[in-house]
Amino acid sequence: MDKNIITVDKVKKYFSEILVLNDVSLKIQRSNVVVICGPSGCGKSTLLRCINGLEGLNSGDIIINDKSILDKNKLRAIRLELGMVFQQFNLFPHKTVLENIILSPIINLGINKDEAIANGRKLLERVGILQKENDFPSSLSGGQQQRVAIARGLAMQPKIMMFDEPTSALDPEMIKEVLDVMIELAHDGMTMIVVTHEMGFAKEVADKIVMMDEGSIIEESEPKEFFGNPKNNRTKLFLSKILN
Amino acid sequence: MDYTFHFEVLENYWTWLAKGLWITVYISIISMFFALIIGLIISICRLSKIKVLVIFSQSYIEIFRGIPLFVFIIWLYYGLAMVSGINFEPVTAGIICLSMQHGGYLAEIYRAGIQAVSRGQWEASFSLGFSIINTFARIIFPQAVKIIIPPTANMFIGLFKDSALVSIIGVNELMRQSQIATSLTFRPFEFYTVTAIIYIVLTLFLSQLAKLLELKMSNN
Repeated sequence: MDKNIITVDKVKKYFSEILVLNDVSLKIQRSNVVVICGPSGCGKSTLLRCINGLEGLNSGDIIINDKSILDKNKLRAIRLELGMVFQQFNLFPHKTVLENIILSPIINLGINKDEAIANGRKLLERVGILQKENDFPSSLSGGQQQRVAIARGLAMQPKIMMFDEPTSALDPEMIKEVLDVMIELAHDGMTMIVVTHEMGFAKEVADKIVMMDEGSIIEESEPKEFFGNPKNNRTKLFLSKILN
Repeated sequence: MDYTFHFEVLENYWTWLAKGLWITVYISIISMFFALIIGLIISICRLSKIKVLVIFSQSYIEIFRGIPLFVFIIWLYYGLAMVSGINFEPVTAGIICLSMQHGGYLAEIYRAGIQAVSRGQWEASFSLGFSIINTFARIIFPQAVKIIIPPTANMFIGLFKDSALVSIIGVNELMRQSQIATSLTFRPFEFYTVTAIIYIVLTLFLSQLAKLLELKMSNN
């Protein structure tokens, strides 16, 4: 078996005429945490969305756990292995917190309801909001909603969790509660791809930091190297802006 | 004004009018049922990415927005029957016309409602591994329904009133019954006034119902 659970191979992606991903290649190993950062519009979110097939590729390939994203018949199987957490949470507003979590395991994994509920409660406890299980998402704070979204992703027992700017829509005082859950997840050995500007988080748990600009990966290194000795001038500029 | 009102002639015709009202209600409900289904199918075609279906649904909507119901009823009942040899029962013809036309209106209401659900809902659902059908049926449509119900209820009121037009092909609904009674008694003012009042009262009732539904929807 390939030691890389995800291989992004020379991916090009256009939005009409605009090139948003330019020959992007990236390898991610099992149980690694990869943080992707870069200025807005650099293509980091698009890269995540290409990995779970929300966006198609114009050329190149992405292999996830030995399955190609180009194989339309495997798309759902790939998505079942990938958890995705969005900036805007995207919880289902017409379902309660617990229903949000158990719906997909019941429908898409065929888990029986009692088991799904027991499992869902465990996850809610893990993210610290078991007491809200019967509430609707609209009555929760942003931080709580995002933690439910993480639990919803985990309920599918994914091999990889992807986070698309998970704290960008949150009030500052709620960022920590979400990051804490993510840090715990990283320590548990989950493979994670995180698009974020939270450099503290990156320093603490990332195995690799990827810097993107104008659709390309311009730097890829371990946190120590990335923060201590960035090679690319644009990385330096980005870091000076974001750290001050 | 030297007209003497003779509302008492109505006395002998109450059951006659009641029978007409029953057919009006019957036609309206059946037509609405089919219109709901047609509207859903057309709106799904309209929102699909399959070009043939998109063109089909757009044409459908434009045609039925453009053709007056009156013309459509006569075309189907007299015109089409002549060419195709299919002779519809008047009630059947009326139901076909009402449901096809209002299905087109409903398709646009549905489309707006479905599009009002944020794209993030589709994406979250796909990311969790839901198929497109499950995504639509379990995630998107239940949210769209809240947006769709109030205008749909209003449209039903329109359909209910439009049903008077099928009197032209001899369906014995309220309007037609009233016309016949008029021709027997020569009392157009009395009969048409009462008929109008019946429509108004029922419409009032329906619009109160719609308001109640709307209120309930916004509370949820």
